[in-house]
Amino acid sequence: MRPNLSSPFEVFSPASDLIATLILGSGALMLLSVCFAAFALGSHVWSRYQTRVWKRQKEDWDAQIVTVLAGDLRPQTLTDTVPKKYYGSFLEALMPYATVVDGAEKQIIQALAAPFLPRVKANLSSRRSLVRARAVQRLGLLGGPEQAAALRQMLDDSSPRVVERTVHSLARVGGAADAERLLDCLPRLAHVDPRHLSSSLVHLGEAAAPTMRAAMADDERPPFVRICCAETLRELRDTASVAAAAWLLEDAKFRDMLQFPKVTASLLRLLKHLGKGVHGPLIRAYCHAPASFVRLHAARALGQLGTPEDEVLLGALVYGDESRWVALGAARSLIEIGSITPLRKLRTLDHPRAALASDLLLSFDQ
Amino acid sequence: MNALLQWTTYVLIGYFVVLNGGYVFMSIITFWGVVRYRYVLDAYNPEEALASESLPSITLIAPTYNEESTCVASIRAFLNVDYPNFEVLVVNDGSTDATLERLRNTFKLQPTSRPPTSDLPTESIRQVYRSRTHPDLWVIDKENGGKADALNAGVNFCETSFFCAMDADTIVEREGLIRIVRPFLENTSTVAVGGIIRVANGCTIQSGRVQNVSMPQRLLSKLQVVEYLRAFFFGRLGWDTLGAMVIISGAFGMFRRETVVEVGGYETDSVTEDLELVLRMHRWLRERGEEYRVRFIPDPVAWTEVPSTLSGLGSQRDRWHRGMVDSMIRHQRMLLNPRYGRVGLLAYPFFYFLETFGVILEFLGYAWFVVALATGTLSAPIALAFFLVAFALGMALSLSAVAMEELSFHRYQKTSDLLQLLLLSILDNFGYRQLNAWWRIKGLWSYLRSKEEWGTIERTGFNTSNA
Repeated sequence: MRPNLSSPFEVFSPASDLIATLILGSGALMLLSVCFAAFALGSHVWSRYQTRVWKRQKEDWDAQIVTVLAGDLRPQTLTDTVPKKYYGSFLEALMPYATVVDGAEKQIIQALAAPFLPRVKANLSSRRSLVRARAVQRLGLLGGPEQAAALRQMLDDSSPRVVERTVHSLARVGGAADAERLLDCLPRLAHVDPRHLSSSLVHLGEAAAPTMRAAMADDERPPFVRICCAETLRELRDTASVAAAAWLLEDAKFRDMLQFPKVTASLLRLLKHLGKGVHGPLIRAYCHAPASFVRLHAARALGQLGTPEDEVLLGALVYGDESRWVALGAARSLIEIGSITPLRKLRTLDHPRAALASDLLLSFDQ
Repeated sequence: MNALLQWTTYVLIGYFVVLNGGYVFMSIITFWGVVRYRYVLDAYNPEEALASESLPSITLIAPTYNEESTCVASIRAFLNVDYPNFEVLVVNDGSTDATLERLRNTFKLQPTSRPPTSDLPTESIRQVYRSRTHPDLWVIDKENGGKADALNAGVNFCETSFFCAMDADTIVEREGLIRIVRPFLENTSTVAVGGIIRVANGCTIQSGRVQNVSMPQRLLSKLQVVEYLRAFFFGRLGWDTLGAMVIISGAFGMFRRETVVEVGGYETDSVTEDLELVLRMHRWLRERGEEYRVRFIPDPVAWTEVPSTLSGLGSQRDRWHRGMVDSMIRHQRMLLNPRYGRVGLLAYPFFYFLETFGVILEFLGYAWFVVALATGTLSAPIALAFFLVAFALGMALSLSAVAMEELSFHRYQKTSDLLQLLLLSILDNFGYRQLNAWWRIKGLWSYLRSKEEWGTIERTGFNTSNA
């Protein structure tokens, strides 16, 4: 039997109990609020203190680092003055230099960081992947080849984030001998932007180019790895890779290459930047590829490597390709090879692409 | 009558418990997310990213309408961003003030042409301009069609894989772009990323940079600082941590152009085109079974001027809520639908039941409180105790947002500013929240009456005096 209630709240408990519960609840929440406020205040005071200390230290260290880089102070003289508890801050202060210096200056920065890196290295075995990733990043930026062995082990880390950071770091401190090892772990990073990885693989230098070329041509490798290699070779401006790319793109392999449109697009990009006029005929075939982005890269490559003979082909793409991007790329290529007659003609026609031609010619005329 | 009151009470208390339980849960998740994100930031070095060749080209699209007081400072800030290869497309959406004139004179614009790359329907383009002093700055002058239409026009002229949608009265921090692009590099399935928006009122801006962060002068703007902290920590970082981000602010968000074009661009008949687009992207990508990610990250910062008058704020909130109702109804197919994953099962119900339509219950709650007290159904001590709980909970949540800010980014470095934030966390429970509820009710009512105006917000311009 439901009791006859005079107040809806009585369904829960007698009013006095309810009031007590509510007051207790609000009291707990107030206490929590006080804790948050105290935490905010404490964090604020601590942050201000840290900022003050950091500013003072950084000014001091910056001046001394510049003196060391100028050769007027021995690295050890500076590192001896850094208190142990501030090693993290000192490494932090070194990082902006590590990203911009090279050669002998880079070695000085490494010498400055060296006494503190064993502590960083200890973090490689942390349970938290983010701590391991941070340690890997510090070792890559501030360490030298002596850190490579520790970093190689991190390529097998369970966290893809750590593996990604390790690729960046090992490419910096390792050498060409690490190229194969790095390429082997790339399939785990297929979710990462290939340009992001290739910009790191470039640090392996020219000596790694033969490995990259072989991997680029190896159809047993996952397409992602081949794309990373092609992009790296392009960034390295490795002219020897042009022959390999041309060999892959040659007529006989046309059908095979269409199975890997992204690899094909990377190879066309490579040819565009490093190829020569002789590669023009090879590229033309890909202007008819089914994937629009392959046609786009082929059209763009013809802008660099094509001749006035390509006017008809590029003109056909401007007039009739289903992709607006391909038409735009082809129109720009026409301007690059100095054949603007098809565009001038198109401008006067009642054609859906007439506006495109008109827009490009106007900016060209300016 | 008694039974009706009783059931009303159950519903209201249920709503109160679920809503605040949700907030408490989100605040716990957010705390975890903030702590975790500190490590992520530690391992990311913007200078290293800048030195590499991996950064993709980006287009900043900034629609502008009658923003003569702030547009030049904002565009200067866009042009000064640390990023190796980007273009700025300012879309003048048929401004009736001197916006175009100011842009033309300041940046030496000259008429030119630029071929569009997509054909999202928009109002007609009057003229494309390019700056003679800043070749990466383009201005697209078009007939007025609303913000979504202007954004679509910008997308149509975008030639890069990614674009950043910005408000022209927003100032993006120097490292903003390098930071917001990171999730796209780390995972190619990322289709959209939102950054944090902070209140620029009270800050000193010089050469398009926030030089000195300070609390605003006016109480209404101050209250919005706490509100923005709460919204961006709980409403964004929390949902990102749960993998169910549905809101990317139109003031600062980066998108994969191809995906936006594929879903049809911004919806021009929506007044919250940012929310609607993200919901549509979720729906479209889920329905195609594509792997994708929508992210929020709190380190790319953009500063915006918030309304400093009641009428301006009321108009903005009315529009926001109207747009939210509209977007929620448009995509309610996602509601509690497992096909849409965490978005359909967690975020959508939260925003649908609690944030969008819950306002009816919230308002009813206030009314019920008065009626119940007046009729004696509710005794004064119980009312007071209940009020205390609601107040203490609201205060605890606001204070936790302030604490998270101090723990993570610590942007308000003056102690007086922090003390103000703490005080405001208490004050915003008295009047401001209720006012917001009223504006949201108005927004809901406007939606039901199909009122589609944007309303106007009077911009006073940034404080450019010396700090």
